[in-house]
Amino acid sequence: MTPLLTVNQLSLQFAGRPILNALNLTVETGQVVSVLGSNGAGKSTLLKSILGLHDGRVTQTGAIHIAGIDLVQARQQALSQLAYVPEQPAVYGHLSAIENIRYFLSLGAVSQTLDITTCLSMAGLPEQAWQRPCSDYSKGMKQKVMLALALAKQARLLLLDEPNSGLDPQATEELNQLILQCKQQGMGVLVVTHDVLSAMAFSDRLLMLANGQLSPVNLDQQALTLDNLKRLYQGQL
Amino acid sequence: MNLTPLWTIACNEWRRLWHARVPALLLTVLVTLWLIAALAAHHHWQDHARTVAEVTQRSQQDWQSQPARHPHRVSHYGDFVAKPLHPLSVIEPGILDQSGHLVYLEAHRLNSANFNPATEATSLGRFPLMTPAMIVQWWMPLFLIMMAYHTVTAEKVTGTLAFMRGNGTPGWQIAVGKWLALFLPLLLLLAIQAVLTWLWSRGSDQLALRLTAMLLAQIFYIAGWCLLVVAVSWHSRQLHGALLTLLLCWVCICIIFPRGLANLAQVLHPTQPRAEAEYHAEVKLKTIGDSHNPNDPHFAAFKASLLKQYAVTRIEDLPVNYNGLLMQEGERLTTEVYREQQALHDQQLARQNASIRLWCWLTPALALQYVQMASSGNDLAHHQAFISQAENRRYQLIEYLNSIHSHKVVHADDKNTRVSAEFWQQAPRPAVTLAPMSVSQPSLQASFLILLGWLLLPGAFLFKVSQRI
Repeated sequence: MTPLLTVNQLSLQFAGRPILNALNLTVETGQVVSVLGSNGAGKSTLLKSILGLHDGRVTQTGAIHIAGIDLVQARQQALSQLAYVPEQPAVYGHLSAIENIRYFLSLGAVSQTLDITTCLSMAGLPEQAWQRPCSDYSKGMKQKVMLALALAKQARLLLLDEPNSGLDPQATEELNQLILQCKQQGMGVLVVTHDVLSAMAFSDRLLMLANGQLSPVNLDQQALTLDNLKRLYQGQL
Repeated sequence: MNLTPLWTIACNEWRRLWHARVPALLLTVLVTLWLIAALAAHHHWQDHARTVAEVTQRSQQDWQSQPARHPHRVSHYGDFVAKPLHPLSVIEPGILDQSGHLVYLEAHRLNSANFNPATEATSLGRFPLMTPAMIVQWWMPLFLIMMAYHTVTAEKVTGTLAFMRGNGTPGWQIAVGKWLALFLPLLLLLAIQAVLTWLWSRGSDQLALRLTAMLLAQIFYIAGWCLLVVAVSWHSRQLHGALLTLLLCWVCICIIFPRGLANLAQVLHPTQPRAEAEYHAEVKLKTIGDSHNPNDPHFAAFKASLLKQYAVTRIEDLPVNYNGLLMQEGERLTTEVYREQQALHDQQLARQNASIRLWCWLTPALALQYVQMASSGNDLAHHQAFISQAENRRYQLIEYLNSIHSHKVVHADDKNTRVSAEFWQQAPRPAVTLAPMSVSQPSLQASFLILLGWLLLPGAFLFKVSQRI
């Protein structure tokens, strides 16, 4: 089966400074892959590359395929296969959850969508909040809206940028459950995060981004101590 | 091309602006200002129109009711002529206030309006009277900036721009959608103004052409501003950066460049003050000939040629009145000198205008002003055409009176003769009409080129910046 995401020999330079160096990555159907890395390691840059959001100031080589579709040759078609949830949930405060989802769906080249209210239920957003303007929402609620959008869009690949930052433990737990739910529905999920504990809870593969390359992390929950974490981020584990 | 996303983005932008309340409030203030300007300008125009009608009627009445008189007295009795005003003057009075619209026609002189220094007013010295044209030229872009400087920058800050791009929405779609959201309401306002103007000025001279030119120029101008606002907003990383950049653009385009260009033109090609022009005319007239001096060489030669032509030795023996012919010759000479001065003045103004046009590409506001003034018949070219028509009327009238002096008044009893009033009633006083819009063709062409460039420049900038996040 074609992987949902294939990143092949991706190298990237910004203002002459190498950020990514011949990086390879695949995400299969029903697989959750988490990428860890210290600040400035290039995690968000990697996501931007997958989304094709870099401008002319960045030099990029290598190939990216989303569900087998080349990102350069058919950008819009490739991006219609994925859903992206940025670190700060990007919803319009003047629109309700339903209106936000309807708006973003109408902009994307999506042929078939699921019922919005069903998706909001699946995402766990309380029904009484659906019609309220999103300016009143907490970050966790906004993230649920974005995940509901991903579900409504019937995206095959989900990209999450620091999904747990700023969430309380309960909201984090709810989000982790949602990610697992997406996985069960056959979506591929790529998560960029600092939250190692959560990543270990929902990930099939855990990768560390350092020096522009990805390497697997072999760490079990019992070995998760502060010292080990420091060593992990320093590349000594 | 699927236009639905463009419309969706535009609708969402309207909702966002409406939800923010301040833009809606600003739009209300703008419309109120516009209404006030329209009412004030209409009142002002009515004053002008009433004066024109009254003066024309009274002048006609006074002229027709003159008793039997000596023709030379009639020539100094004079005649008033008023510049016909186009109803579009309500939108743009142009240089009307500075140049005046009444000229007193009399023998031997081109009167003050002809040399009114205010005819030089190509600058934007029109702060006191708020007009609908001024609203479009100055206030609409300023309000647009205040309403929408954050249109894309805010989406950058909240992350919705990156989100939309990351979900496959092309940058150009977002840019065009945003532009439509800003442009369409303003287009609606311009269209309403045009329709109302059309309704109340139906049947006026070249209305379709004049109104279309004015509306097109306004549309290009505002469309360009909308492009610039979206482009700068897209380019800026921070909200205050977008606002300050756009305000700087507004100050340069609407205030500094137009003022600076007009002042520079005045410095580079100064116009002769009226008093100086009159002094030069008097000096020149004295060197050409003095009809009151019997020893003046020009008039001595004129007298000799007349005597020779009619084969007589004394002016008393001429079959025509010598004084009348003398007046005719004097009028010919003074007219020639004054017309030379007028031509010199026109040349100076033309040089000023050419100098402004050379740098006019710096500011579409000036290009719009040129089109608005030309469309309403209140630019320099229309004023000069009016002055030229008035001068022709003056010369024809004085020639007629001098001809009556020569043929209907006996030389021997010149001072005591009175000519019947019927002659004044038949005097040629051709109507002065509003010049066709084609008199302003050079400035119209240049202005429309600049306005097209004004669309292309921010358009290209927006296209470039919309490629990135």
